[in-house]
Amino acid sequence: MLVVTRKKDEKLIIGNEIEIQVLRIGRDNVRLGIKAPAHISIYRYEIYEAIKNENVSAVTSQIPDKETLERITKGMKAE
Amino acid sequence: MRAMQAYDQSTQLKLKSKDAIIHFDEGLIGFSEFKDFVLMENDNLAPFRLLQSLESPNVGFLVLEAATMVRNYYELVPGREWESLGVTGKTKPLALVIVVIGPTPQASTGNFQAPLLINYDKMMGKQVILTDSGLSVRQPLM
Repeated sequence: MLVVTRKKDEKLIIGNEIEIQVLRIGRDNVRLGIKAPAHISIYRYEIYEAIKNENVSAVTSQIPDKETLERITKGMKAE
Repeated sequence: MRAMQAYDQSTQLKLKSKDAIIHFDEGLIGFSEFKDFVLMENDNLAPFRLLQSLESPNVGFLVLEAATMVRNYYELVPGREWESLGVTGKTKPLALVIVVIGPTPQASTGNFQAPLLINYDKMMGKQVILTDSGLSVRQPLM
């Protein structure tokens, strides 16, 4: 991990296109401004991690058996 | 490829169309190294399909078209997310949600907060998180 210390208003640039600026320093938090191309998503890490955990619990190499699938699809149609 | 042959033999899944590889530039969330997938299906599995990684036979996800459960789902996705995939008014978009099938319908859920967006014309995809949508990561399929 690269560790850098910045003062208020100072910036970092990542690659050629991602800029991070320290906007405000509070007592127990920091306000950051981020400029990045539109195709790059920026998420709070805990949200990202929650989705990662969901993906991990969903990964499968097996198809459910026919009976289970029929029960599920029947339940879906009943809506 | 070995992964697809194993599925063909044991479960008789077929590809929707030959060589229909969907490329995820950044992989899936938590699976950033898995970038190439195919959608496999059969009549028993419908409406679900299997998004199978070409890079590992152990990495697959059961998926469902989001619009089958949430009619206006495409509109819930911010326009800039579609644009980042090159989806214009004329492109065919596809939003899939990863599902977990449990023993009962109540225990089976779909992740509507983090769909897989797919530009079906370019065969490119991306998983996004709809943070402000209020949609659930474990929406029961009932």
